Amino acid sequence: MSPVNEGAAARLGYYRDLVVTLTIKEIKVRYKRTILGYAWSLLNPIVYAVTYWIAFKAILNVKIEGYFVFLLSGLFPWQWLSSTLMSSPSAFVTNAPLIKKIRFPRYLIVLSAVLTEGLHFTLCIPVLAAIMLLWGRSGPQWSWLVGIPLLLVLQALIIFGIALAIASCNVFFRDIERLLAMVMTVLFYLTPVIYEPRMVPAVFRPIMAANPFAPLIVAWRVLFLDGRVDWPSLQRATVAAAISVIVGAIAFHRLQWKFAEAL
Amino acid sequence: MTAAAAISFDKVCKTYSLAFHLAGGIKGMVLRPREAMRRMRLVEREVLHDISFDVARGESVGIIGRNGVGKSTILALIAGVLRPTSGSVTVNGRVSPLLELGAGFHPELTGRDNIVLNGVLLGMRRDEVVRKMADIIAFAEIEPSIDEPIRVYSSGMLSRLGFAVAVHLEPEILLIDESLAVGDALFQEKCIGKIAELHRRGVTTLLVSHDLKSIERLCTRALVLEPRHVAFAGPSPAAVAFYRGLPA
Repeated sequence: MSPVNEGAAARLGYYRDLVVTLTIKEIKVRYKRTILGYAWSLLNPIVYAVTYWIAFKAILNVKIEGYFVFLLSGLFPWQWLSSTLMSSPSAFVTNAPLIKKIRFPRYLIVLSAVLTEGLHFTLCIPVLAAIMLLWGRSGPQWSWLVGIPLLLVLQALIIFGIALAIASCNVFFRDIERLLAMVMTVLFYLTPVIYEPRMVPAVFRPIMAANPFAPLIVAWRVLFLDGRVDWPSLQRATVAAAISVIVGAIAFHRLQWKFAEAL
Repeated sequence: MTAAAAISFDKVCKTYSLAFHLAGGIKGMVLRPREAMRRMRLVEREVLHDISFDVARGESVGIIGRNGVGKSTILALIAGVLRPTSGSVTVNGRVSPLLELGAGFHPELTGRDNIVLNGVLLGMRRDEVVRKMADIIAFAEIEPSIDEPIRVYSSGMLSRLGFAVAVHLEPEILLIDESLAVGDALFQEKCIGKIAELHRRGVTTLLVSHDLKSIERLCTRALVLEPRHVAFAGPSPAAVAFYRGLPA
């Protein structure tokens, strides 16, 4: 319920305050009553990386050099993606009291969840750089200054659109929550997180091309490990971001007026 | 709608579809889409039918009626969380919805953090909340506990905090849904005093209550709602008398 008679600038300022406030709340609440706090965002991908390293390098002997750092460079961005999407079904449902009683742009709830996770991911980048140096890889490059902001924005948009659609639909069909856990596991293996795109047989290439997360993970990895901006992947990610935001906006726009009734 | 109207309902109908509560599954939609759609249209309940009324700027209006006649729906339409099925609702001015005190409070955050969270959600800018922080805390009279997480607060303290934030919004239109029954008798008195003060300053007030005494005390005019329509509209004493005379 932003003031009706004020200009667009004032409204934008108010929306910014709202996003900032919701994000600060998320961050303050997230690690309350945990001992490790922020370390959890680091621990998760690292534990997975160790596990995959044992399974795929030590046991299956996959042909990728520096596999541990390779895994980490994909798992950190993947964690941002998957933890936001996995929590998105409950975005509107758990905020039912708010949605039923106060008028405000409800998509900001989803946006602040995306930004909260994005902030955690950003804080993980220096740790990733430190691990890379420890493992004898090259550290931060100048290209990161261009690549990181671009990829942060693209990934935020892709997650935002999909999360918005999921959150909106889950108000009416709670099945989505159950479905999502399965879909995310499938998507994880269909995204080049634990392998390289070049290893994918030609038959499966179309799946990879249709996967909106694939260009993101590829671009992050090229940026971190090779120190260059992967423009073709960025282009594909831009298309994915546009589609994702449009789909999310349509789903949200069509359903939002039923939220207060259905919750 | 006259220029002076703060709130205007023009031939408003509101129908709830109950299917959402019944189905909640993709299976039916996938297997029998046509039947599912038809069922969705069948299971509807009309709560408001062709309701029209105006509330002038600065007026104080009460809404009375038995449970389930659509009082809260009217407030939700004004607050803008629901949209009418047909007809139009026009609202001019900043609305402070006291529909649920402390909506959006988070139990793990401190009283101070929650004031900011709730204040911004209700429509204040961050710096505005920070500026009014001392006033809000003073009004709520919970100074000693303000930096403790609110899960340790009593329900009375929570209501005080919620009410304190809401009245500091400097609203042009105040919507109150039964929320006068907060805190102890002294604090209730303070709330009623604050609402009366806001009203004197020209704030439009809409009060939904079963407490006919506060309606008579705070409102100049009242609407009596019966299922789906307005049965009576007029000066509050007459409205209260009409409501008392209704068959139970």
